[in-house]
Amino acid sequence: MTHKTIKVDGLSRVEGEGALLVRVRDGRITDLKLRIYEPPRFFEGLLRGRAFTEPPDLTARICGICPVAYQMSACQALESACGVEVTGPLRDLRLLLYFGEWIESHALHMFLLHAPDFLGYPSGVAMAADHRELVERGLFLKKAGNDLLAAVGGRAIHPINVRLGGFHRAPTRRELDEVAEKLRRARDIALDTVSLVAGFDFPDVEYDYRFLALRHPSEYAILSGSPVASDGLTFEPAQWPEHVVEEQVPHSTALHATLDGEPAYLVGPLARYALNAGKLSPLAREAARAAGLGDVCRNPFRSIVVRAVETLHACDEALRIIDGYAEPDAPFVPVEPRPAVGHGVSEAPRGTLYHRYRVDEQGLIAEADIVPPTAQNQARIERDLRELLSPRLDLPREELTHLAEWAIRNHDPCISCSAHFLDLRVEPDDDGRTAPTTAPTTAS
Amino acid sequence: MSATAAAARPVVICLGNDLRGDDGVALEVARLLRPRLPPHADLVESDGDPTAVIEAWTGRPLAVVVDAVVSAAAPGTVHHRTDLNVPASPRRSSHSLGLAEAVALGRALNRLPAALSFYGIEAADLTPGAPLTPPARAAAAQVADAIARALAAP
Repeated sequence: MTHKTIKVDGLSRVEGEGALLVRVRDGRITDLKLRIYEPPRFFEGLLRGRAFTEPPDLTARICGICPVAYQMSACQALESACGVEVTGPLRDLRLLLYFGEWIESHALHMFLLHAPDFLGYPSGVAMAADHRELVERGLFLKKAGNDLLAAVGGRAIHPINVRLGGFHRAPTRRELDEVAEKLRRARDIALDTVSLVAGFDFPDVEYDYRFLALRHPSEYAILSGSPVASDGLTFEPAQWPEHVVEEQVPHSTALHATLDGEPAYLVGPLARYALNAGKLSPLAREAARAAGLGDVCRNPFRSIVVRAVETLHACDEALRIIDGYAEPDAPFVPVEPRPAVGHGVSEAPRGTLYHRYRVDEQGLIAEADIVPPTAQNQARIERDLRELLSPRLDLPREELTHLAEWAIRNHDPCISCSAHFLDLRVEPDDDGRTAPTTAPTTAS
Repeated sequence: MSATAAAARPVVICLGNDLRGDDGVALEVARLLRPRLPPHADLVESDGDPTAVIEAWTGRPLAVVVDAVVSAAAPGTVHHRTDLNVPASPRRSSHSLGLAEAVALGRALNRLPAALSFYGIEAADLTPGAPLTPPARAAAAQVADAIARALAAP
């Protein structure tokens, strides 16, 4: 009998701290855990007692990459509690802000974090030496997204212009026109990117995913919609707690979510594409067709192609909104507190993000609940790894490690991007042979 | 993309996070320096996103970069160097790379400033929510003064 333990310690460059542990006995995986050991931050607890106007700015601090997602889910949940719906030009501005986040987040992941896996480099920096033009394109796309965020949100990271009911100040036509100039070039780059990444070599795997994403009657859902699953389950945001339940697992400080009692469903680009591809902009839809994505993509390594398609869609739709933009009469609609519960769901770059708040008679937050995409995907990522690694356990250690890191990164969880900096420990097996051991990295 | 009218001007880039104690020391430098900044120079505050740093220094004749550092030196020690061998960031950060990676990426993309002057201020306390420590605050004043004098020199 032989067994070995593969430990991938200290996932760095991550939104949170995590590690991968794989135990193998007699050629079979007996245990596999994506461990998230970042100390819990108790955001839901610290929101209690705060004014009902504060969660959009406070929860934005949960993530430096997708603060808009937190702001939008929070705003919609609280507006729903207060009986307000933001529509028309103000909703368009929210879409614009969100598209900016999708563009910068997807560009960062595709070009600097994921592409090196396909092109055989240990990092985006190393890749840049040989693929300068490619990285320049990625930086331009990211900058275009950041500029859109800054034009609508006041600044690119943790935007400060969002408030319940809309914005503190609406951007001027001229401010958006300046961004549009850059977005037109970004759209061309995004279009080229779809065909570029579609030409990468992909490991030949497909998984039987149960997808969950928002669906909107007329949009490729990003800001709002009803949750739908690939098995036909459909429900309204207010019914989320009846269907999605988070539970603790001993090896992770992030909760694991189940959908109607079943773990390991998937949110994110593959889910959105599978459930909503028909609502992509015509240009993005055609690019997806030309890239051979089909109606549904079940190969997680090809998620980079879906991200490229979504980036193209975001550029295209942002330009459409800017073309038709007229400055609203007022930058926000009034939102008055009332004792009620509100639910808000939107599509963060990494997947569906749910917020629920109970507002009390004084207009203070009495309860808060936040279900981020990474908590929902964590169990599914473990299953991906199990299915991917099981038939490949004879691969050399380095190759196996890289494949595991790559597979984690496929879903761009907020613990994905660090995998380039991971160390792997293989502990001695039963027959006494000692495999190479390296210490975990400390910092980067 | 980088050829703008501003590109011929030197730039001071202050990196940090005000919410993490002495990690915000370079932003204190920026606050002290802004009223004394010569009209021919620019000042940029950044959280350290390397793409933003590269954007800020591309095509510049001189980039003065200020950041908090952690080494074995005494708190408030000012490290100054004018080569491009910037030490790796001591912090593990979310999705982001450090200044050393920004230099490496800028070099790979041929987007480095013509000259780089780096001030690293030794941090004592990086606790979230902590105020600047007295040594860091004193060092910030010293660095702001040094940069203002250097930029004002003919």
